Amino acid sequence: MRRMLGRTRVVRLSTVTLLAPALAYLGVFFVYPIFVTLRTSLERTGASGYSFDNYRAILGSGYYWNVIGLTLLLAVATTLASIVVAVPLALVLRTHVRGHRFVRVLVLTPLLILALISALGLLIIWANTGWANKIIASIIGADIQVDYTIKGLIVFYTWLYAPYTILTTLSAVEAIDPAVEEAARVTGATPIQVLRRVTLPLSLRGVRAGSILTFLLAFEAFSIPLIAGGNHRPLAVVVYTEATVFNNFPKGSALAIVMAVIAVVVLVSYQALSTGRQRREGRT
Amino acid sequence: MSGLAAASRGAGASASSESPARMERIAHSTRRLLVYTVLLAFSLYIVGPFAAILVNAFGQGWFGGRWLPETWTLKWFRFARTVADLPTLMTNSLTIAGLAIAISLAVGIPTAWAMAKRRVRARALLMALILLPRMVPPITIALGVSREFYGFHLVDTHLGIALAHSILIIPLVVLIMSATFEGLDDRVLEAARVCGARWTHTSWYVIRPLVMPGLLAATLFGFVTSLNEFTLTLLTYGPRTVTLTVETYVQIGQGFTTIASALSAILLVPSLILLVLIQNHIKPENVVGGTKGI
Amino acid sequence: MTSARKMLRRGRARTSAAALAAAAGILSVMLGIGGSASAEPAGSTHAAATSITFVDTAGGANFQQFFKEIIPQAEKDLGITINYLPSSAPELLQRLQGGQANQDVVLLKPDGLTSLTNAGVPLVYLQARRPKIPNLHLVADADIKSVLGIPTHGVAVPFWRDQFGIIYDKAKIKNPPKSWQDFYNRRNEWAGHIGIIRPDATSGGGRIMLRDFLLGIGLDEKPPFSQIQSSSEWTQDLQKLRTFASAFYKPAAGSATDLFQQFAQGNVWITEYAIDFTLWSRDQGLLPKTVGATFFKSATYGGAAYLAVPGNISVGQKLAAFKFINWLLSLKTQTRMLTEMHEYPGISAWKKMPASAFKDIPTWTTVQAFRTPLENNDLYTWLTQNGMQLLGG
Repeated sequence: MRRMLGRTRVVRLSTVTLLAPALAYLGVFFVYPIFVTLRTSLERTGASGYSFDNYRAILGSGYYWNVIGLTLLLAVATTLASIVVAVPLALVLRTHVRGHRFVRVLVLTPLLILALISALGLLIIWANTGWANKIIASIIGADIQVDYTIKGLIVFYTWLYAPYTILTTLSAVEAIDPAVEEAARVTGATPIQVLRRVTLPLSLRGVRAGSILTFLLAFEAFSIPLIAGGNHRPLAVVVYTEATVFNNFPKGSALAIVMAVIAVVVLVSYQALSTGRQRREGRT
Repeated sequence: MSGLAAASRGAGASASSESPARMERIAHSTRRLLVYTVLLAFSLYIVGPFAAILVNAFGQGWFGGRWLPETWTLKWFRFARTVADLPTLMTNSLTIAGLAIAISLAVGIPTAWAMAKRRVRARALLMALILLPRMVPPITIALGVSREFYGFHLVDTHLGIALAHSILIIPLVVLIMSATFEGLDDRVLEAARVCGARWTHTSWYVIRPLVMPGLLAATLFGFVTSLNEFTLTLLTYGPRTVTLTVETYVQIGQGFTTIASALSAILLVPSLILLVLIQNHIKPENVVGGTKGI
Repeated sequence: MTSARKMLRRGRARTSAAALAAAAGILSVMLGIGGSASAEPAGSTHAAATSITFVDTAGGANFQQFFKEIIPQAEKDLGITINYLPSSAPELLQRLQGGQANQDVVLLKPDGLTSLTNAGVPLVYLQARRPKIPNLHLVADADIKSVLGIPTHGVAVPFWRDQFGIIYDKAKIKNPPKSWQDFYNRRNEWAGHIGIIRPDATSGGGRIMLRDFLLGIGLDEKPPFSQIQSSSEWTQDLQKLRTFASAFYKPAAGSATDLFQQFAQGNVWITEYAIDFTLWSRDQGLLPKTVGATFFKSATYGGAAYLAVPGNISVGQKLAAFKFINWLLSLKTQTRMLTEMHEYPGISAWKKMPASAFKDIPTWTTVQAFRTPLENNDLYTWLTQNGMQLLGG
């Protein structure tokens, strides 16, 4: 479509053309490998022909449902913890307290280090005789077992993945025009009401984008639970073990497909719910 | 935060015998103390593992729950230099990351624009499909990717590995940039058009500064993803394209945490510099928001 | 439809087509620039290639350093370029199954070798290449015959032979056990401080420890596994294993590195693991200086790392690969490995080895008496998949 406006010519690319590069790229480099995986997942271990045996084995086994439950638990808990950390932190940093510049840079540092290495560092810090427990012991007189526990995994995940949520929340919070909050205050709202009715809803878009990222990364987390999970092994680790240690590629592939389906379902529901809510509260 | 507000209000309201100003000051100091304590705890939480890695990289004999290692040494760095050819590793990792970001931005930005500015049917589903590569553990597409790449003669090439990394980075670009573009107020673009600006002029002088924070964030996340990636890399690399992550994974899996720590310590320096430089340019208010006050 | 609309549609279609054509063009140019992966030498089929890739799936950091030191010497002696690539067996298998032909010499652990042969990956029958690999005569025939009870028909030759032993912290344990039975009877002396690597980890240390325990309390692994499983001794032995495992430190280590970290933290006092790696780590200050080794009189794993040549490379590459293997099996290289790495050589030329090398490790005659390679692949696989259940996890 061409629009002539004065001496301006605007060539408007169709929506399909804009979507094409990414879709084509992922078609070639992602969809095809996924088909290879799907085909492998339907193979029978040690026999020829195709069947749904692997899926039956996975979905019918309590063990694998436990693994799925653990993965979801870790991902959701980490996402919530990240939001709980991100929102107050963003509000505080917004006021430019002393040292806020340092904290802003600090927030991004977990991104710079390889996940494998941060797993190692976290294990060292939170060991029973590590620095964190030495400090905690001097305060409350006893060690807290963090390494190799579920709550430990949540602490580690949050360390690694919260920065994504913090960054987007901070951006959204700082984008809020103070004039709007001022207007609310002037018309008699208490600070809490300003927070609940004005500030938080306006920062929701940022929280949403970042927490999606955090959830995804926590869901597919591999390096941290491999090294620091102890007996708690989420989906990515189990897929890896099935495929490379047990050499059972069909089962590993089936597990990976199940993993993908769950993630898509959760994500689509989350998107639909939060977009619906945003529409109800009025888009800002 | 609401608790603090309540505290200050409560303190103010119940001040009958004390002077309101004094109560206000006490509440204010308490609030500041609380804020600083929380910030300090948060900072320790984040900095802790870095400190542990550095101490591990420079120490020897860190046993039995001691505060610090027995002796200090540089030998892990020397070891890292002989066993791991560090300049080549860094060149490989950085080249691949750069290529991957260029490809991902080129492919992802048009799609992000479409998702943000155009009416796309089943948007949620499409977005979920685009994000799918980040939800499937890389090991499952690794085999298919490896076979494909072998057919295309892309194994053991920087471009090949960059293409593999892009599979994981394009979803990030689309996710972040679509949020950024969503915040880009159409009225600003309309205003530019009304003033007669050419499309190229509009892009450079109007759009670019507004989306720069989002662009930088996407670049940073993409860079980090590429540096960290090892499952796909393990199947597509060769002697000419050993990356830092592959080397570290091999070291830590079959070898020594101290050497891996030394490698990471070396990597931290340029990363921190890069971060500080970028930090000054990411104006946080514009990554996900639009312009203020229009 | 108005003509304006028709024009609009055509315009849009044209733009889309142009965009897609451009994308396709860019993609094909990019793929063209990608270039070919490994340059096949264009020489005649009888000339050895000038550059090979050596993939190491068996060496830890200690051997990676060793290889980095000896490979430049090999390059000088042989006049070829050798690219050294540390990797792991699962990745190597995937590359070979995917048809990649840029691995010329591979170094494999026993289970790596069996997973390749079980998957049907063609390997060169090195036995028949004796004219090209003269140093093969230094290797005992029995060492080329079979691995893990699976006859390999001479497709691989041992480069080194490693030995497991009982590692313990002398400061914490004054009187170590003398046999597996002794270890079992006295397990409560060290309850909660016996370390093990997860049987389902990439590293085989944990499942080897389980197998050695079973052998030590009387299991015979020579019969086929189905026969073993249906015997009554099997149930009793497994019960003993479960009881023994209740004294392990939990959670089990995810890798050898993790296990050593547990030693360093003082949580684990005793375990079974590879002696060369442990002694080297102690010398490097990664384990407490009080760590030492002791050996039971029987039922202790002894294995090897095997050199093999994939069958899907060109003749020129194979010739160069043989030259390198010959160099690795030479007396000079093998002696150097023994003295520097505390590792038993793959060749059997004991009279020519210096006596000083056997200060920290027992002589081969002593070791041969109790050394028990893995003989039953099915048992080993069963332990891999079910080991964690036995440990109560």
